[in-house]
Amino acid sequence: MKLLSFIALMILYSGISLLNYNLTQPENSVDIDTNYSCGILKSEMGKADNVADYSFFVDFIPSENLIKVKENLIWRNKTNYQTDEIYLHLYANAYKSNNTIFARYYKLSEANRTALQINNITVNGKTAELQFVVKNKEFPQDSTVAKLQLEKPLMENDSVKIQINYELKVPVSVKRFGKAKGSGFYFISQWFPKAGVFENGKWICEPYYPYLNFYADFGKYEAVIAAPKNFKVAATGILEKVTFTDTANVFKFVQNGVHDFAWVASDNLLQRKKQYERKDGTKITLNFYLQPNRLKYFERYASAVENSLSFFEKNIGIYPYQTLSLIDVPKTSASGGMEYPTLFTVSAELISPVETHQPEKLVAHEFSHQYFQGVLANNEVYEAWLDEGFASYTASKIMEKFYGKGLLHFKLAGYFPVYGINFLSYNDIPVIYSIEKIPYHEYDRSLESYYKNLTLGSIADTSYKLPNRRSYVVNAYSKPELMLHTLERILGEEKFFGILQKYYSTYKFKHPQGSDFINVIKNNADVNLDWFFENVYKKSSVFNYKVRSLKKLKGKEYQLFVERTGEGIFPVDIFIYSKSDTLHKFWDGKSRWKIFRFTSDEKITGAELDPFRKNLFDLNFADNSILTEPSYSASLALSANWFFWLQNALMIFGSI
Amino acid sequence: MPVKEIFVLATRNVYRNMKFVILFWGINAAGALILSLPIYYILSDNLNYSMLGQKLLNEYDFSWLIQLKFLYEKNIGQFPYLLYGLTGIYLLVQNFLVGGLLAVFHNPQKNHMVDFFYGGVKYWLRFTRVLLIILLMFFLVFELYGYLGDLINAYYSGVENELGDFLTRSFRYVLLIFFIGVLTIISDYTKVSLVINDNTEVFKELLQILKFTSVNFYKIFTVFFIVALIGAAGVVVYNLLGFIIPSKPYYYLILLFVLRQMLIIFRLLIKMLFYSTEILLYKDLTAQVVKVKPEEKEVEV
Ligand SMILES: [Zn+2]
Repeated sequence: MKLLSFIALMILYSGISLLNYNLTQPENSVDIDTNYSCGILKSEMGKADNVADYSFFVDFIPSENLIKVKENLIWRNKTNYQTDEIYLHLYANAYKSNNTIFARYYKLSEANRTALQINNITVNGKTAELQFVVKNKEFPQDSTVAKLQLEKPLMENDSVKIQINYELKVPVSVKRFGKAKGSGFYFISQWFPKAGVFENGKWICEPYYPYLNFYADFGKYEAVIAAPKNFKVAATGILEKVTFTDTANVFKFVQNGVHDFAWVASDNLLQRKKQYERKDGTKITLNFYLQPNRLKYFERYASAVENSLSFFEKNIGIYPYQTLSLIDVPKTSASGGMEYPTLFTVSAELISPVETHQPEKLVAHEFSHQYFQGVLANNEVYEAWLDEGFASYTASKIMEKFYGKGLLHFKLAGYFPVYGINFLSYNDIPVIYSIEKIPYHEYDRSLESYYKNLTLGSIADTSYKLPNRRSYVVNAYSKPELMLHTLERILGEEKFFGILQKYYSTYKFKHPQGSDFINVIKNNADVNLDWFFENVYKKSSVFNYKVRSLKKLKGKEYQLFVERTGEGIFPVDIFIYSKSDTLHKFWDGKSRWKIFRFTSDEKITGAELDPFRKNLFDLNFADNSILTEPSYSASLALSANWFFWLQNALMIFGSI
Repeated sequence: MPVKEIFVLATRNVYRNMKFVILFWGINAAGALILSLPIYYILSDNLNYSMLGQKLLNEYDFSWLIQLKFLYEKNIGQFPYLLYGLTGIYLLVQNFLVGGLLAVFHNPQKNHMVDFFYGGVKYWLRFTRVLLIILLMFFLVFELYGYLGDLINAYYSGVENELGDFLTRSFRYVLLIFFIGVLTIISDYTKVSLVINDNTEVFKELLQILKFTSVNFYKIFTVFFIVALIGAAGVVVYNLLGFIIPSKPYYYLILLFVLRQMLIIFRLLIKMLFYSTEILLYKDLTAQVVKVKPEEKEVEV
């Protein structure tokens, strides 16, 4: 029955997909705009300290799955400490064997492996030698960090020029970097020896941890990439020039004021362009690189990017770059949902109505990283929450503002979304389910994730030291998102956005830390929030406030008994309701319990703690309120639904 | 017998014995009620004295649902075992009811409650044996289904073809439903033949039915499919009505509850119609053989 309509839809759908029109790709056009210099707004130039400038000459040889690279790095000491070493990340070596830190989570088959083959390296023109640095003693074979010894120390404002010639086999992608299995799609990230960050007299250069991201200084990147004529190339920054030789197209990309560079080459990629106009009339070129079978998502991708841009430019601050590229990656490329300066990767499901909020939310999240990670370049290995938590929060806000509430759904046959909840399933077969349109809050997923890990680790903990992936996800994504929503609820949206603006304008093109953000809050909020950061950020306090009882005493006197059952402290508003009036009380929430006595002329019907659900960390919303007279209708109505779903389940089983 | 006539007779048979649907419905409702009680207790504990209950009647609160799932994680984790255990008992009781029903359908003159229960007792053990064999077959089918899933996963993880993946997975459902249909037909007809031939040799009868269904597959499947279509039409009507009934204010939920019970009863009647057509069809298709036998006997005598 449902199956029949499902089959009919399937047939219809496949028909539509076959009709999917094939459009020609636009010619490679260079990006020229006089408001910008090297891809960055002239008005924003100079705000970034160029510590590490890179230029690359890349020969991309897909027939051998190989890139040959000449890398020039100019590193400047912009600190007032001296150093006689340069630390380099050799991220690509994470794919060397199953003995790297990265391989803890991603088992590498022979095809997934690669390593940098460095042919020669010079420092200021003199041949030098790399020394591998073992940062984690448990993984002595991890070679993702190395250093170069300098002949003489670099003082403040001194610079050094490093040249590296290397080859790198592009492996079959297992995560983030490589060739997508079964297609000619190459995603090239973490591909070059990259300087660590020298700060406070120390080199910060951590190995490549699985699922963690990166940390680097700002600089100017230039890349000349030669690719066979049948390949389209997209990259961080603006396309400054394209030249054509007999066998190859040579692309030159440039970008100033960024801290990473990623690129893509594919023999089957469609390109679309759009312009986004800022309030002041300046324009951002939006590039969309799409898998041919996902062309139908172009408009949705485009409006998600435009909505995200308008949200950020209105509420947070200006997007400083000339271009923004969305790369729609094939599933097998395992590189979707990642952020790089002026470029991010996404992918979309085969069937994905807009009510499922995908791919829009993924776009909003990855876009958000242009600010939180791209421009505000926090150390993602130490404080991943500063980008993941913020990106999760702003993505939720963007979705709320532009798309309304999403609808819960589950998938049939792995792809076909059905609105409703699947309570119990066996081998992809829904057994107990409800088919109805149920809206959810954007933060609900974070709430669900948080409940899976209430106390292991805290947001303030160093990200790479968190004991497992779950704890990392909760403390980098879920809890910070809930924390930011809760802060917004305490301070009010306008005030909170104002604070975010301040944070952005103060720390753009810098390396903000968690304490910086908290200080911006403290200096700009009108209320003391020490208790909040103590409980939510530093510790992993668990919160629950409940109403124990609400009784009538003598005459008009009533007694409200409230309790704090979690160790977390959170001041709460209390509303006490009578037929026509609401009495407002406040509890600082510090003591374990509190008894309020009050009088009322009218009969009291109920009381409620935290009526606006400001504290999303409260573990039980149901016990936040009490009624003086019980009402059975909700429990009966919900049980009746459950009863019917069970009747159906039994009927299906009973048909044997 | 033409298909049309089978339906006329079968429907008449179901109509005459409509009262028995109450028993099937009662067992279904009792099973669901037992399984609903723990949920009801959890919900009353949380909502009867909470203002949240009133809010939930007017709007969804998925945050709260996630929370409830987390707070009762252990109880919820045990629920599938409760469900599967109760399903086992449900199947055994249902075997009893089907025995009674088939006895009544086979012999329409005797359709009192007593006859029904007599049939139930008489065929229960035989039907339970059929159930065990069929369950084993179901197990094999589901194993195969699971294995097919693994194959699909393994193949499509390295291939960029989501549409192919989706279609293959959908085909896997179709295949499963087809096999469930076939097993249901075999199970039903074995029970039918056990009643009509009053045979106790379950395994022999089952083999007989395998042969019977493969020989008469087209007709059997056509009848099966038509009944299934009638059932589907009922579900469509239910969904349309369900769509019209507003979900707020909450007293409409009573209307919805009644409608849902009507759907359950309708589906049970459809199940009865399956049995009723199967009895007629079986009698009809085996009639030629039966006719020949007495003649031979006469010659011998
Ligand atoms: Zn992210």
